[in-house]
Amino acid sequence: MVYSLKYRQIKLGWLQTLIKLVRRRRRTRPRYPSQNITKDLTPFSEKPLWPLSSYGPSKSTKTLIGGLDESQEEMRYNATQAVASGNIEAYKQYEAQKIAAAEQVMKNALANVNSLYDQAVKQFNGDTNPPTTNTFSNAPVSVFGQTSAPTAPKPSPFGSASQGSVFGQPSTGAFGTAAPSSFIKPATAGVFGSSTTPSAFGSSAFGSPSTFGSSSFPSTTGTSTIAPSSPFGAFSNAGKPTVFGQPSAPTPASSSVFGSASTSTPPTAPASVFGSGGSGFGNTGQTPIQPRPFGAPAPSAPFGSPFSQAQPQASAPAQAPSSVFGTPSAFPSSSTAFGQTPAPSTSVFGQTAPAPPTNNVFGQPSNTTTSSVFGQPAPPPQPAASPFAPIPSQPPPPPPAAAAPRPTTQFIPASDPYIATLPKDYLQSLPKEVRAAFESDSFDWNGLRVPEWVPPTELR
Amino acid sequence: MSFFNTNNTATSSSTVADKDIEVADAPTDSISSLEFSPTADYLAVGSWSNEVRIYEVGQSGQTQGKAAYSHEQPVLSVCWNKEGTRLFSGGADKAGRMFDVTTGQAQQVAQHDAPVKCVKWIDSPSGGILATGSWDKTVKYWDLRTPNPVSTVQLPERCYTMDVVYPLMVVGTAERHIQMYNLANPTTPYRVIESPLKWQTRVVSCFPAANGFAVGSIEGRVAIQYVEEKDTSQNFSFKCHRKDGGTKDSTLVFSVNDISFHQQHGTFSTAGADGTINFWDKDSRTRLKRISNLHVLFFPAFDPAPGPITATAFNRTGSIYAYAVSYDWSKGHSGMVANHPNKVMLHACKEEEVKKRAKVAK
Repeated sequence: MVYSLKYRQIKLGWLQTLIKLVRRRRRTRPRYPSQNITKDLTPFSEKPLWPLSSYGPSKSTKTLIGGLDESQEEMRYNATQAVASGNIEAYKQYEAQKIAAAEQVMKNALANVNSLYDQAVKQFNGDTNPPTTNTFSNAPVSVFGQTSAPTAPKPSPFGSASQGSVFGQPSTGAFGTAAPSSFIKPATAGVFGSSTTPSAFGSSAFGSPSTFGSSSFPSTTGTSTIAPSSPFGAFSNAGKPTVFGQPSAPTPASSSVFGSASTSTPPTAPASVFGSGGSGFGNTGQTPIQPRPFGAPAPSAPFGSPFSQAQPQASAPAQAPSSVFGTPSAFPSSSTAFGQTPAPSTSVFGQTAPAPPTNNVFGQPSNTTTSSVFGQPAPPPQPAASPFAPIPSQPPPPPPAAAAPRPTTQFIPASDPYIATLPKDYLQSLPKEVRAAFESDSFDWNGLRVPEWVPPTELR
Repeated sequence: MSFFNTNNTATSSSTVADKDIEVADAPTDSISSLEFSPTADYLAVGSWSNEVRIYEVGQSGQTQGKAAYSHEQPVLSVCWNKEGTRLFSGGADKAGRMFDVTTGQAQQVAQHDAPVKCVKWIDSPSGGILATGSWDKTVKYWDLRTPNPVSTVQLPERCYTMDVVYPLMVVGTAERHIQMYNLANPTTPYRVIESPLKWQTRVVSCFPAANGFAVGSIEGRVAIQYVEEKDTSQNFSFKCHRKDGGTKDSTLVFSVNDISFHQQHGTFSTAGADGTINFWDKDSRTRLKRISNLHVLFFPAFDPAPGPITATAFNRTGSIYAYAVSYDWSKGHSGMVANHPNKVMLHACKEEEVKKRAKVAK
């Protein structure tokens, strides 16, 4: 019985494959629905907690919302610089503004998912042009060959008006230019300020030809075809106050504080950035050019390809590195000089008990307490000023034990990381009966009148 | 799309973090990077305090500070050479430095125009080379004999992460670019793709077999990616390091801060801003272990907030796993509080945590 069912399934599967081959219809829409994009951009759904990031709608697809990438280390580096120059406030402002700008971009995108999706579809179709690939997810290499080849010889995509002609197609997309791989220019265009495209755009010569030289974006190429009601027209406003990078807007911090930050490359550099960058990647199909050392026939090891080394010999016998740490260290901060070499330990923690399964494998209890105090590089923050407040309409996640009545537990504000995310007048803005429920001694379990709201700080 | 059977009852989850050993005399500011020496149980720790510290790890997990040296600005990356005789570090002072353990001397060996985010040692047949990746959008190769790089590679964007398992080198940059290099031909990318993940790349880590790599992003997701196009069907991604947001249908999506591969077994760990560590087997697509650093399970009012894990490393035999609990700036400046945990922990690896699982027969 089961066997025949399986047989039927296999038969159908074969048929389907046959039909697919016969039809040979190329996919014209990406596999994901536009609802995926909505989810991706919705805070507390799929949207990451770190706000300063560019976005692509699917694996190995071009970036759809670009130019937003700032890593946590870069931001911290900026803060370190600011502290060193004695002006942490400038950094706090910078951070708040960057985050606000990024969130604004995302909000706009969320409000216009359909246009965004259309753009993604266009990019998708642009990607499948090259004959060497026919599956979307495998597009990468030749994609860059297609789109960047024309731009490679052009070292400076910064806002040059002639860029529009490279792509040659009439612009119908919400984003104005015809670039098959264009992406939304965030409102942070102003933040980068300078008349040249921010580095994020300009440097990605791979298929993000960044024709959005910020000077050209609001005006010429193709924005005329954008319906006036297009939300992305709003990006073209110059009214958004620019904080950094723009020479005409003096900032409290010396611009050199952030000058070295990677957010804006000096406008003078572009030629060299692309001169060499283009040459390596400007051709279609990397792989045919390469002698393909990786293509060498592989042994039948599970990992297959020639990359695979013989079973990694990580347990190579550890010779006592007696010559490694020869002389004593001269560094003041180390407590001792180099002592003896460690005995080669093949079984590291085996000395007390032979492989105790669950308990302390480490013989002794832990070492001495660390004497170093964790220094804080910056003055303690003010929670109220947290730039990470989510969009107020979204209820922030409550602390873990929010719903449980805790009449006797002390509430320690510092332990709740989400306090800062509550709006300031939260207590006042609660519905009356919710507020009453919080103010009473205990929640009315029977009537199931436990509020689903975050308890206001004052009433915890 | 749940490729990883995280409901597998064989997976154990525990606060085994309580039994791990804390490294004595940890750096005074957040830890950016960790790496064990390939020839001995010496742990190098790079920190935002501008320091690189080297600790000796003993048989029962006791640690002893051995040496330290400084950059002029925070240290972002550390790596050892193959013999374990030299330690390299890259910092926000735009310099790459080398520490010779035999002489105890440190010197600058590399220079960039912007902070050096990644340093990796390449042990090529023709000699050792130091690769440095920087926010100045280049990777430079240094032979340490001359003050100039032997070669410079242009990147499309700032270098955020880099890993080398000869002959594969993978570089992840801003704006979701990923470049793969065959180090037999190190100046031209072998293959270039957009990230298999949707948001900012945070970490890439190569398989010990050097035929692929894992990518971690800020979106609580990891992708397993094979280098060769013919292996594309084996690529997959999975969600991790996410927490229930507390209200209905809300999720907290944390960054994956580091991925480390176990050299012998080929299994790997992921560590996130949520303060948890997971061990995974990519071939059977299972989670082997979850370590939670959350002390807040029962006493929310008294215990400190969980700390993000900023860096992880296996020792050369895969018997010790080091992880750093410190602030990763995932909440920006406001998260930098005085009592934030800042420590390096050592975990003795158990077999079931790092050994591959047999594939479930279908």
